[in-house]
Parts: sequence; structure tokens; C-alpha cells
Amino acid sequence: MKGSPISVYCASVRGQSHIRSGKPCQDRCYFEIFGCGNGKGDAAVIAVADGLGSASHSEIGADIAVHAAAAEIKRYLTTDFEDGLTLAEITSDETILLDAFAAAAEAIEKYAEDAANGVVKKDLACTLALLFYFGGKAAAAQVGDGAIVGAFSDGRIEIVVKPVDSEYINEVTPITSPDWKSRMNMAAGMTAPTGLVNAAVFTDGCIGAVTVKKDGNTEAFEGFFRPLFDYFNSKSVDDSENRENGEKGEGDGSENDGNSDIAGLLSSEKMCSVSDDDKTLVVACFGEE
Amino acid sequence: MTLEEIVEISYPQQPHCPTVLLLDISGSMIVGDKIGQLNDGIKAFKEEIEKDELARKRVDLAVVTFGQKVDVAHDFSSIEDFEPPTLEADGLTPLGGAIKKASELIEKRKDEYKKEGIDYYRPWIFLITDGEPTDMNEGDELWNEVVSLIHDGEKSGKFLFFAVGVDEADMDTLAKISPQHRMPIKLKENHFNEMFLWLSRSQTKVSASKPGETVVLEDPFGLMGWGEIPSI
Repeated sequence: MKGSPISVYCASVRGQSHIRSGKPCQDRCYFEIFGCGNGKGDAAVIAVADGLGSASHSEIGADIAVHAAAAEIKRYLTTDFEDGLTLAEITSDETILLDAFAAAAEAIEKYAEDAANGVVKKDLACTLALLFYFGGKAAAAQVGDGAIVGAFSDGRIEIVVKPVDSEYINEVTPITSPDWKSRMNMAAGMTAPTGLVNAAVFTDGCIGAVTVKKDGNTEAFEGFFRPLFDYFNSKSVDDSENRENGEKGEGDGSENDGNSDIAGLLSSEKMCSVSDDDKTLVVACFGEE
Repeated sequence: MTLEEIVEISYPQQPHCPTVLLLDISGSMIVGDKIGQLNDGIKAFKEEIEKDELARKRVDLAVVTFGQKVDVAHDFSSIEDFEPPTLEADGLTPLGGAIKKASELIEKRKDEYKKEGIDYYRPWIFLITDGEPTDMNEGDELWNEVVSLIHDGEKSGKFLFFAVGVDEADMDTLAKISPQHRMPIKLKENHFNEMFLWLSRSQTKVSASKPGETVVLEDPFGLMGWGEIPSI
């Protein structure tokens, strides 16, 4: 039986600076492809978090954030409401995303409140980027300095969610900040990306290599994304016969060839020449419904 | 072909890390050849930054002096293009005008970065003086303007302001000008060189910092440090 038309490939790799200092990779990513409620076809959720260098256990915060946020979105998409509708269909995209960010922030807070864990909330500070896709529609948002780029059915390649503006390069607002809601960039509702064929979600360690600045605006660098998406679109077709429903991934680069290809790219001299930070890249191919 | 071979990458400009050295060259700087030590210190700062591969590409430096007049002794440039000026001591201490000039230079530099699409770190203003301001008195118009410029500038994140008092510097006045959370530091006698080395190490750290990373500066007051806690 042919698997889902959706495929996702991902990896998170430790940056040179963390290899030198003996620190772990503080980026985390998680994706899941699953059947929607009421038999409405497949859906996908992608979550990417970047633990702050100033927070002592930010990789734990990032891990909690990606799983809690993805679980909340999955709940909306898989819960049957009534009359053949899912919970996601009666809820605005904005609300689903805001609830997912809130779920991530609350999960981090809960972990910090448990004295046995021996950490406070600020030790777990991280950014978060989220994208979900179902029924041919997508919505995305982020708090932090990564970005989301999309390829569209008319051939455009554009930034879907920009890094959240911060005047100075080394300053960022994490989701553990009380201000996270006001520091969110979102593409949902009226601004939702339509006709999305591919998406790439990535952390700031990649941003210098894969974006360009024009007149103060951050734009997708086509020389990177066009061949990247082409590569994974053909891989996705090749893989489709063997793909199983209910695929999940955590970006350790080991689950399949596509993931290890991304891990190889992120660890390459080319990418490391631009940044020695941890790097995460998730590539989604939405195929045809 | 591997993915690395297939994709092109964008080579962005290095983010810049701007600092203004705001230097007192009033006549009293001749005493004990403080002016000579200051000149040597600036040279040492350039040499130290040049040793660091990343800082060398990222640190931008400008020098504003105040003595006979307020002067931009060196406009912003990369460390590579920075030619340490030979400063000569003469005149009074027009500190108020000099602080305004430093703030103007920073805003101008930021506009240039924005136009060029260059990312940047929060600028530093690093003041070194051995006297008391001669162009303003506590409570007058210029004083109020300068104090609110520094306090508001710090609060709104426009820059970080550091003040160092040398020799007979009026530490009381410096404390009133400085942001409340960063009191002025009194330089230990003949420790110009150590101070400039500290500044270069601090800038090296800042210029290598990543989003969300706290930059912990070395304590200038330690046994090996260059600063004394001022007794005000």
C-alpha cells in the first residue's frame, strides 16, 4: 500500500563552538505525519526549537517545547468534533498556533516547578518555530530568530515566517519570556501560505547561509532552496512506496538516508564557514493530496 | 552528488561590533605621561583585536577626543583600517559635547549598517577621563541633556556606556552621569595597558556571542585587574 503523500526529512547537528566547549547540541526538532480525524487524509506537524546559549539546560527546554507543541497541534487535528468536522476545522489557525506555543511554555514551566529537576525556568530558555499542514493548507509561526521558507505551486520560493526582529544580533526573546506573544511572527488565517509544495524550517545557525538581506529585509536564498527542494521532491517520490503512515522523526540524522543527507549538509565545511552555532533543518514535501 | 555539492550558500557579511573610545586629552593628561600611556593603550587594543580571527572581522572602532575641542580623531572603521592616532594633550574637558558627539556617531553608524543589511551588536561607548567636565555643571541644560541621553540610551538599548576615571578624575560626577547599574571604575595607577587588554578581550567575547548568549565580562577589580572601586 502506498504511504502518505507527505514526507519530512530533518537533522539537528552540534555546532563547532559547542564541540570545542564540550556542550551538547541545544537545537531540537520533531515532526510527525498522521491521519487527521474523520478520515480526512494526512496531516503533518513540524516543531523546531533552539536552546539559548545563556541558559544552562536549554536543550531540555527545547526538547520539551517541540514535543508539547506538536502534541497540542496533533490534538486539534485528530480530535473529531461533530458532523464530520475535526476540532481543527472549527478553530482558527491562529488559535491553534497560540495554544501550541502556550502548551510548550506551560510544559517548560511545569518541568521547572518540579524541584526534583533542579532547574529554574530561565535555565530552559529556547526559541520555537511551528508549522502544520492538513487538507492542502498550512499555517506557521515562530518566537525567535530562525525562519520558515516555502516553495509554492507557482514556482515562488519565499520566506513564510521571518526571524523576529531584534536590533542586535546576539539578542533574542525566548518562549520562556512573559513577552513571547508580542514577539511572535505568524503566517496564519489571512496571511497563511497557500499552494505550499515544500517547506523548510530552520534555526538561526543556518540563517546566514540560506538567506540574504535586501533593503533590510530577510529573503530566502534561492540558490540554496531550489536545489534542496528538488533533491527531496525526487527522493520523496522514490521513497513513497516504502513510506509508512504515522512517521515521526527527531532529527538525529539516523532514521533514513534523507535525514543523514541533511546532517551531512549541516556539518559540511560550506555551512560551518558561515556559522559555528548548532544547526537544524527540516524539509517537508507535501506531495499531492 | 552530495547535498553540500548541490546547494549554493549565501555568504553574508560579518556582523559588526561597534565601539567608540571617548578619550580625555585635556592638558592635565600630560602629568605622569598619561597621554603617552593612552596612545600606547590604543595601539595595544588594535594589536590584540587583530590577533583574534573573528574579532578582527567584526570589531569597528571610532575615537572621539575632548580637550581644546571635541574632535572625531578617527571615524568608524574596521580594525584593519584603524590607524591609531597620536593624541596630544591640551585644553579643557568638554565632556558633555563629547558624549553627544559619540552618540551621534553611533546612530550614524547604525544607519549605515541598516542600509548595507549588516547585522550588528549593541555598541559600546568607553569613556576615559582624568578630570571633571568644563562645558557643563550639574543641573544645567547640557548636563540634563547628556545625563538623559546616557540613561535613556542605556535603558532603550541604544548603547552600553562605560566610564573610567583616571588619577584626579571627579568620580562623583562620573557616577552621576553613568547608568545606575554600571558605576564608573577608577583606574589603578599606570594600568592603562591592562585596561585596554581587558577591553580587547571583552570585545572579542562580545563579537563571538550568539543570540541569547550572556557575555560575562572579566571582573576588572580582581587582584590582577586594572580597576579600583571608586571611593566617592
